[in-house]
Amino acid sequence: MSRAPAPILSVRDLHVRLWTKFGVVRAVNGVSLDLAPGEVLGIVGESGSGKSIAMLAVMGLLDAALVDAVAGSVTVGDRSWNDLTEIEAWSSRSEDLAMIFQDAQTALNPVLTIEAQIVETLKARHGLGRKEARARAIKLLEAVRIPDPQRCLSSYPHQLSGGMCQRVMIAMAVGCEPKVLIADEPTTALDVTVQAQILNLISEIQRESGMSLVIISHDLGVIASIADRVHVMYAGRIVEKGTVQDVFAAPRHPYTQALLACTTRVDDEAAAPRAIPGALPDMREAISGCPFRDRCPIVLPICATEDPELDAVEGHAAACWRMPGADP
Amino acid sequence: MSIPASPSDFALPLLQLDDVCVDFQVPKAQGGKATLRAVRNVSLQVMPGESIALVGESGCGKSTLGRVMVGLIEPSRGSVLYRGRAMNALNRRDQQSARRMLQMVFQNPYGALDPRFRIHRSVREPLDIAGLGSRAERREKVARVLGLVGLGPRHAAAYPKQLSGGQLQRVGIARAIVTSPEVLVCDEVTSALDVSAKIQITELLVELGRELNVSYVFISHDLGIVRQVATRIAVMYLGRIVELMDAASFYRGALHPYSRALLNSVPIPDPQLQRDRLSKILVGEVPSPTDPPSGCAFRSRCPLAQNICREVDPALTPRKGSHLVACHFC
Ligand SMILES: Nc1ncnc2c1ncn2[C@@H]1O[C@H](COP(=O)(O)OP(=O)(O)OP(=O)(O)O)[C@@H](O)[C@H]1O
Ligand SMILES: Nc1ncnc2c1ncn2[C@@H]1O[C@H](COP(=O)(O)OP(=O)(O)O)[C@@H](O)[C@H]1O
Ligand SMILES: [Mg+2]
Ligand SMILES: [Mg+2]
Repeated sequence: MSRAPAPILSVRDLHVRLWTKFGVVRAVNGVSLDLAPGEVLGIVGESGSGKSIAMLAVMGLLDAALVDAVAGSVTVGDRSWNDLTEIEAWSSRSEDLAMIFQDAQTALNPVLTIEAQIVETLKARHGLGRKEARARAIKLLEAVRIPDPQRCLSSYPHQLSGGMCQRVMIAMAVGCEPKVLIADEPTTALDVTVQAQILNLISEIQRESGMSLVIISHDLGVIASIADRVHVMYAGRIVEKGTVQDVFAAPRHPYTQALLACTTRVDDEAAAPRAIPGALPDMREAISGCPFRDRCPIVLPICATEDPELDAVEGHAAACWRMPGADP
Repeated sequence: MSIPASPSDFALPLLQLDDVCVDFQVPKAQGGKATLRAVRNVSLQVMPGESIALVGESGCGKSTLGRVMVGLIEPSRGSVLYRGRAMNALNRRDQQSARRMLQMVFQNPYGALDPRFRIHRSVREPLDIAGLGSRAERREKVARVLGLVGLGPRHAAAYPKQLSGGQLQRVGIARAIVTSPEVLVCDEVTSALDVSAKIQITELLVELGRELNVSYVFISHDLGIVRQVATRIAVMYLGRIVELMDAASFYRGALHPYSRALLNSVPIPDPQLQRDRLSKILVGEVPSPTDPPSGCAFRSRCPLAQNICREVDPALTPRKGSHLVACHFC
C-alpha cells in the first residue's frame, strides 16, 4: 500500500468543556483527525454533536469566557500546538487556517462597506497598499462570481442577498490563501438553488487552489456533494469515518445508518424516512459506555459499560461493539 | 360554531382564493416608494382533507399567501372565500369564528410563546381569548391536545426555555389545534429543526390530519420534507404560482423548468449521483420583486427562454388531469 502524504492538519485527542447556564457541558470528547493536502473532509452529525465547537477549538476561535477546559493538540504543516488554551494560538494558526460560517450576513460588520472589510483584511494579511488591495479585492469578487464587483464593494452587507454575503466571506477567506479552509454549515441559511451554486464554487476554488477543506453540515446531501471523506460525529466523538463512497453505500455505525434512514430524498429512490428515536444524551455528564446506546436498535450488554473506540486504522471504521474485531 | 359544516358542503372548498394580489409599498434605495408585488394573481382552493404545499425560494411570496389565507393580511386585489363566503363580508362574530377555523403555525416556536408562562397556559390561551368552554373543559382540552402532539404533564408544567426545538414546535402545533381548526397553515415549521425532529414533526402532522380531519397549507422550501406531507404542490416564483399538481406525480412529472431546477438543486445522500446533479444547476438569483422581468418572471434564469417569454407572461394552463403549468415551452 502506498504511504499517505503527511497530513496538512492533524488533531489529536481534542476535548472541550464549556460553561453554560445549565452547568459545564462536555462538548467535544476525544476527537482526532488527519486532513491530507488537497483533501475535502466532511463532518456530519445532529445539532449539538460538537462539530462547530471542535473546529472553533482547532482554529483557536473559542470564546475564552465560555471555556472551562480545552485539551489536545493541533498540528498544521510542521507546527504544533499542545496548549490550545493559549490566546495567541489564534493569530499564529490564522496564517494557515481560515473559517467561514453559516450566517455570513451577521459575520460581516453591518456598518462598514464590503470594500472597507475586504481591503482591510488584505492589507493586514499581505501588507498591500490600498490601491493594490482594492485591485486584488475585485479579482477575488470576480473569482466568487459576483456579477458586479465594483458595486458590491461599495455596498453594505444588508444590501446584499444571503448568497452574495456568503460569496464575499468566501472571497475574504480565500484571499488569505489558507492551507485549510473550514466551512461551518456555509449553505444552511441559503435556498437550495443558491446552496448548489455555493457548493460548486467552494469545490472549484478548492480544486484550483489545492487547499484542503473541512465542510461541516448536518445534511448528508451536502457532504455527498463535495467531500472525499466523511467523519460522523455523535456526542462530541467521531463514531464513523471513511470515504464518502464507503460510508454512504455501507454505513457501519448504527448512528450513521439511522442518520441516512431519516434523510429525505427527492430522487426516485425515495423511501419513507424514519426518525431516530430519543435524543442526544445529556452532555453535562461524563458518559460511560457507548453514547448512542439509548437510541441504538442493536445494543449489547457491553455498550452500557464500555465506550467502543474508533480503530486507528486508515480507511473505513466505526466505533461500535458490533463491528468485527471490536471485542474488548 | 356559528358556521355549520353540513354534509352537503363536504365537497366545497374550505378556502377559495380568486385572483389574489398582495402589494407592499417599500422604500426605494434612491428615495421614494416602490410597489413590491409579493403575491400576483393567485387562484387556489383548499379542499377538505387535503394538504397543499407552497414551495419556492425565499421571497417568492409563500408566507404572504399563507397570511392571506388565515386573514392576517387583506389582499390588495381578489377575494378569499371561507366555505363560500367572502371573509371581509362576514359580520364580526362570524369573522371571529372563521378565524378560529384558520390557524397558523410558525417557524420559530420560541418566539410565539411567552417565556414567563408554563406551556399549558400558552396552549390554553386561544381558548381563553375565544371564551370557549368552562375552566375544567379548557383544562381537559389542553391536556388532550398536548397528548395528541406527544407531550405529557411534565412538559405541560415546563417553561419554554426547558424544552427542545422539536418539543417547542409540538407546543406551537398544540396551540394552533386547540380551537379545532379546519385549516392549518404551517409556515416553515420544520426549518429550524434537526433532521430527525423534522421527520417526527411531519409524521405528527400526517397523523393529526387524519385524526382531526384538518387540512394543511404546508409552506416549506424543503422539497424532501414536503414529500412527507403534501397531497398537492404549488410552486411559486416571484409571487405567482407557476405549477400546481398532485404531489405523488410531482417528483417525477413536474414540467416547469423552475420546478425541475428546484428538484435538481436538492442534494441527495449519494456521492456519485449527487456530483452529477451538481453539474446541472440553476444560475443566478431571484430578481428583485419590485422590478421583476417583463413577460415570464422566470425567463432571466430559464434555460428554455425565447423571445416570446420576454413579451407574454404565460398563463397557468391545464395539462393532463388537474396539472397546471405556466410556461410557453412545456
Ligand atoms: N455559546 C455556547 N455556550 C454554551 N454552550 C454551547 C455554546 N455553543 C455550543 N455549546 C454546547 O456545546 C455542545 C456542542 O455544540 P456545537 O455548537 O459544537 O454543536 P454542532 O454540532 O455544531 O451543532 P449545530 O448543528 O447545531 O451547529 C452542545 O452541547 C452545545 O449546547
Ligand atoms: N410586510 C411587508 N412589507 C414589505 N414587504 C414585504 C412584507 N412582507 C413580505 N414582503 C416582501 O414580499 C415578498 C414575499 O415575501 P414572503 O411572502 O415572506 O416570501 P417567502 O415566504 O416565500 O419567503 C418578499 O420580497 C418580501 O420581502
Ligand atoms: Mg454548529
Ligand atoms: Mg416565508
